[in-house]
Amino acid sequence: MAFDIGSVLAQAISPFNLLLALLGVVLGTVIGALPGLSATMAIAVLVPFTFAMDPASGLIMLGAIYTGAIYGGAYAAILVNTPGTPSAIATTFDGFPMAKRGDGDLAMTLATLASVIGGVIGAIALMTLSPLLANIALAFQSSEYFWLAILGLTLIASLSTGNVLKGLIGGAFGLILSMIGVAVVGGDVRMTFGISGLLGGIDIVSALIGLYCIPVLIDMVARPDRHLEPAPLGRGFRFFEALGHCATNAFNLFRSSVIGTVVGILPGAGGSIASLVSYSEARRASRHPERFGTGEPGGLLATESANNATVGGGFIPTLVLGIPGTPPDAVILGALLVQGIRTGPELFTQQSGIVYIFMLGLLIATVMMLPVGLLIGRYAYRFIVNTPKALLVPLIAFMTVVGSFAIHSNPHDVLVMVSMGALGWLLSLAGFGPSPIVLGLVLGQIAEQGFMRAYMIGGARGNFGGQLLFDRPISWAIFALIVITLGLPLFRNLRQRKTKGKEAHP
Amino acid sequence: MTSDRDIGGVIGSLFFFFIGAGVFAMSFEMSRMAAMFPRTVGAALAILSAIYVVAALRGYRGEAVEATSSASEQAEGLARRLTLLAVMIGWALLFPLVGMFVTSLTACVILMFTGLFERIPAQRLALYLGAVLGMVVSFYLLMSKLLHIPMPRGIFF
Repeated sequence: MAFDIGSVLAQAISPFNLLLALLGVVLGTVIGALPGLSATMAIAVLVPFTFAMDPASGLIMLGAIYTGAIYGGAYAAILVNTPGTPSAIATTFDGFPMAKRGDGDLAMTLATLASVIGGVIGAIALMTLSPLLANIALAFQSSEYFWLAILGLTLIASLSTGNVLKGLIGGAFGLILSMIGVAVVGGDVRMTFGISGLLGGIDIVSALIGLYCIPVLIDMVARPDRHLEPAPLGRGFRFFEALGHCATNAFNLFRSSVIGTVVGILPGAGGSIASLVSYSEARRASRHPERFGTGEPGGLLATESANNATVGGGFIPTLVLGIPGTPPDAVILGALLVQGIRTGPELFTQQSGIVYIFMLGLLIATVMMLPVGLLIGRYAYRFIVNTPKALLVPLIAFMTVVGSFAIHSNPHDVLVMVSMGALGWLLSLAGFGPSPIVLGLVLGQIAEQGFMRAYMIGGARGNFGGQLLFDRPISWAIFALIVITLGLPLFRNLRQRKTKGKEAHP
Repeated sequence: MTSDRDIGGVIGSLFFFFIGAGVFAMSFEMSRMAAMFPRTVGAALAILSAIYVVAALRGYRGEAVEATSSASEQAEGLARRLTLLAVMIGWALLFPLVGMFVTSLTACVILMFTGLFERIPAQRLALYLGAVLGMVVSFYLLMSKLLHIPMPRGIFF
């Protein structure tokens, strides 16, 4: 390596840089906790301040804000059932039921621990395997993206046990919502009914806030009982209890962090697919899959470790190939260029010192999330539990409105949020949950774009089947995972019926 | 028809059936590349919905893992639920015209009263109103001054 490890370490852990990392994590966590305010916005707003700093300090702060903001998304997901970002969708599945029954303190501690573990594994992968893992990103083509989106959609089957039909209907409806606006391939204007605001499609974050948060608000004002059950006094952070859950879910945490890192490498796929796929895998591998969705710690650990692992993973193509995987990566790439750092394969040889300071800073910021997250998480939970509904309802409602407006500074997004919320509430009366719709909406564009590109490339070569699946080993692997994910619950059901039949007629 | 049939599911599925059929029909006005996904998914949605309608009318019902409230549970506090929904819709429609601050303050005060379930002393009421004002002011300043988001000023501000 063409750099001095001692000087890199000394710079990364200088008191000033540690303070910046701490500040970045706190700012990122608070901004990420507010629905609609994204990591991209937090970084974009603070980028100009870093230009005045030396490059290493500026980059450490940006990395800390990013990782803090991704972790902060868990707060609204657990405490208000509102995933402020697509990467926190699966956090609501078990996080909110835990908070509802009085285990919000444990849920917050679990989310913090999982985020730290996932973030550390992602950062270590970034430091040690960057050039190798960047090749994986290049091996993924349109057909792999299509199959990855389908793998994410298979979660619908897991979420709808006992009523798969309703789940599939919701998923198909979500896919249709994702097609509104200008077609990803072909350029046709589809299903906008002449409304110019729909040309850009349905914004995913607005729809998420509406579908998850408005029905919760509607329920909150209907009954005088508390929004969340308070935790009994004297239980503290429940840190050791959470550590126990982490120990029993050690493999789940490791697998989810690896999924997060690998999926994070893929430009455009990002945290949403990573957390959904890892949740689906955790449920499939669990001895108690029926507990998932009702407040199972394993589900929360899977999704939170995966989405924080995508931070380190996402930096791999950004630094090695100069291809930003997510919008925050793109903003940080811009900041790197302004600081005179040229990304690409030479980065690790010619400017390795600054790159390793940045990576080490990211690792330090991730570890700092533990005390910061435990402290903020505890008070956030207490605040939500102890605030009277007369104040909590306007507070959450205001956050949903300003949050959805802030995405593009566009009033149309607020209308979309409220409309989706009203629709979500009406559909819940008919027994249709929001998650299949959201999965269809989030993954629809990725699936359509991947499939249509494979169709065009395969068509031009006269070998569509080969381009989509048969000639592509990675596609085969993802396809096999889809078959296992869908087939295993059926196999388990059959085996249970057989066992019951034997018990009934020995 | 017995009461244990999933009537809500039937109504919802009929809604989805018409959406699926509509999208399928609309796809014939699109180019070949743009029509492929809408046509396939529209047809799938219509077929799945039709299957659910028939199955539900024959007595099939299943419980989704994801908790949803039944219509009977939702009847509790219906007036408050509808008030919240009306305030949110009015808020979303009016804030670009009237101004973000004024509409937000008005909506938050209405929602504060919607979330009150008992008579409270005047002193606490004043405290609540002050807290709502403080919240709207601080969020407004955070958005407009710190994050530089151009908040719609409308007729007022």
